[in-house]
Amino acid sequence: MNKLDNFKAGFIKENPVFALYLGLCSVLAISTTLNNAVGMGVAVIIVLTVSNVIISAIRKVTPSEIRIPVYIVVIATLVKIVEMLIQAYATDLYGTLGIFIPLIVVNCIILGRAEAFASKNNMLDSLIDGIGMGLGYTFGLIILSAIRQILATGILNFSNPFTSEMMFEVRLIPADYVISLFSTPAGAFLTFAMIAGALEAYKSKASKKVKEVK
Amino acid sequence: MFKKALHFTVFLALLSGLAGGALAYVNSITAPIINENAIAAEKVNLVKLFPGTSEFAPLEITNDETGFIQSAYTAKDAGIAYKVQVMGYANPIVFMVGISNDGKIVGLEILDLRDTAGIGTRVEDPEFKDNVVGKTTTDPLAALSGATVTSGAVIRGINAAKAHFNDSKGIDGGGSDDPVTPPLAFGDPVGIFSNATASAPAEILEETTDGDVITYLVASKGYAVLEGGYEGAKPNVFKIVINTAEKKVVSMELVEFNDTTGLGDKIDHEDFWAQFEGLATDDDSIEIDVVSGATVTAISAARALRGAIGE
Amino acid sequence: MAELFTLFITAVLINNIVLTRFLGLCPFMGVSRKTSSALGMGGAVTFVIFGASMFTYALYHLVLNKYGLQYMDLITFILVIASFVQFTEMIIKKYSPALYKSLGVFLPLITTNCAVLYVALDNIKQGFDLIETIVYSLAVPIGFTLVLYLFSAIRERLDLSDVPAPFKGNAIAMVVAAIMALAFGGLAGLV
Repeated sequence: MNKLDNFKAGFIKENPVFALYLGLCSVLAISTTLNNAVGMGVAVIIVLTVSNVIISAIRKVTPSEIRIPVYIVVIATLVKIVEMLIQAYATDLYGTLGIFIPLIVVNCIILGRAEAFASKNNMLDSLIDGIGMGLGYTFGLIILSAIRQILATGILNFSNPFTSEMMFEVRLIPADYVISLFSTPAGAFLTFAMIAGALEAYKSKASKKVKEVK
Repeated sequence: MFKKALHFTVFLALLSGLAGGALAYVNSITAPIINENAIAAEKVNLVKLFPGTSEFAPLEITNDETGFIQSAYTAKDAGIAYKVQVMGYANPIVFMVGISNDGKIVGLEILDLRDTAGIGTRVEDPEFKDNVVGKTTTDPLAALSGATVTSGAVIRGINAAKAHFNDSKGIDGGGSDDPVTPPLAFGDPVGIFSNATASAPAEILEETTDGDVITYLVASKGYAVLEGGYEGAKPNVFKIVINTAEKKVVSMELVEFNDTTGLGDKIDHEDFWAQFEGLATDDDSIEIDVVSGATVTAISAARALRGAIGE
Repeated sequence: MAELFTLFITAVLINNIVLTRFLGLCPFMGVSRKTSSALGMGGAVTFVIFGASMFTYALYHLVLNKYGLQYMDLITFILVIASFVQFTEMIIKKYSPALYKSLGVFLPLITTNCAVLYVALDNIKQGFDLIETIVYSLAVPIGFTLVLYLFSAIRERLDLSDVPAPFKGNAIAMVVAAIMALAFGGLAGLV
């Protein structure tokens, strides 16, 4: 697969969240507002990309037997650094994401990509893979959060995490018609199921078309 | 084999060392900013407690056994401000108390209070603040009568702050961490055999004789029956012990209370009962002072005694 | 004592880690249809969470906090967890090869189970003392095991039902989780 296909796969066909079911814990918990989704997504992209690059860089000198602890140390360090930066410079985001920032360490996506890709490819490819997968994750997270936020509160808004000023706010559903179920855990599971089901339907239709053409 | 294990250990140790170094570096940059942010959020309240000061630094609390103290800040050259959270009547109460370096409580700011309006919210009134501000860290604090749960909780929180303060300055606070019972606020006197007790005579439920001492169980209608009109209202029941030889009241106590909780039960206080002890049963002019805010219930007690003594 | 009991019930039923905190989902989705392996998994997770929490608690309060190294918590905690899982793997392999075989790849994956790190971090964040840590670190995985067990029982039936094609497998599992979350939500008034 060429680089572009690789990149595109991370978005839809091999979307880490809805197709591969990785990193679910934070996805479901965070996806209540667009702000959370973007904040978490960016954090994951940074950690994933930098860890991919570092692990790729040291792949030749890392003894295979201890590679998992090595990956863990790298990823944990990066996550902690990101956490400290968020706590200092984007305090509101720190408040809403809370304990899920350190939980990025055990986000299967990052460890998974380190093991499956970064340890076997050069730094540039690993960089692109990290960005691609990270964007796919963020994309999935944004879709889930937007749907939940709109259905549960009726408004979609976004505020600058560094200055806390609202950048846009639009009401899409009148306040009387919101379904607050979607801000609950049950709603999160349900929305996720719908999107995953839709993706699966799309994928099987697409592969059916391919089969018919053949 | 051994060489391999050594190789692994060295590699991991090196990596961890680098990681630790990177973390320490980032921490040194971000930690001060994080502290600043925390202080900025609190600063509004910190300045209210220590108006003259502008320099505050967070203080780490390590020896708070109560767990009430959430955070603390030292006000430069002025004192320490504590942010305390206690459990009130139904909801947590968050407040800040400032203690000056010379051991005086200089300020009290209630930040989050959701207790009963008019009762628990009295801790926000100047009456309560005056009770607290100005006291030293070794003085006991009295709760508000009629709002004992809320004010007691706040005082327990303040005492926790005081304990930490005393501990850090080496002062012996002494005494317990619970609020003292406030003195009873007495009202006007009412004669046991006066007009006030003439109506709604009390009913003797039980009479136990033991030589010269007779113990009466008397039911006397109180606020609930006479004025409150509560559904299923019942009279209050008192236990009165009279020494017929000495013709004196030995003791009196409340056995069953059916008036308004938080108001009528103010009479259940040692100072109130003390009034009855030693009253002469053959004296028509004996009287007691009612309790302000619980007059009807107090009169029901007087009526009970009248019923026990007889006409 | 009553507070400890409340802490326990809250962690198991009301703030159930899978249904309200969304943690520990990977084994939840990948659990087999057999209720016995669900129990085996639950048992292993309970052992790991409890043991790891004890170690990380001691580590934090005796070392990190004392020397102002709180920022090393993430790295040290996850390394403690990884080592403890490795240790647990060795024990299970030795004393119950059957369990070892049935858990398969999910055993080392407990390391990346969000629930383990979450409990370790939460013990510190909530400021628990030793007793509360013990109660909480046992209650959370017990809640996890409970839900896992219920889920595997439902899954057995689910495989025999007529599920729409796109939902087969994981999506329908999510719907079941949604319904379970609603059901457990009704327990909120318990304490």
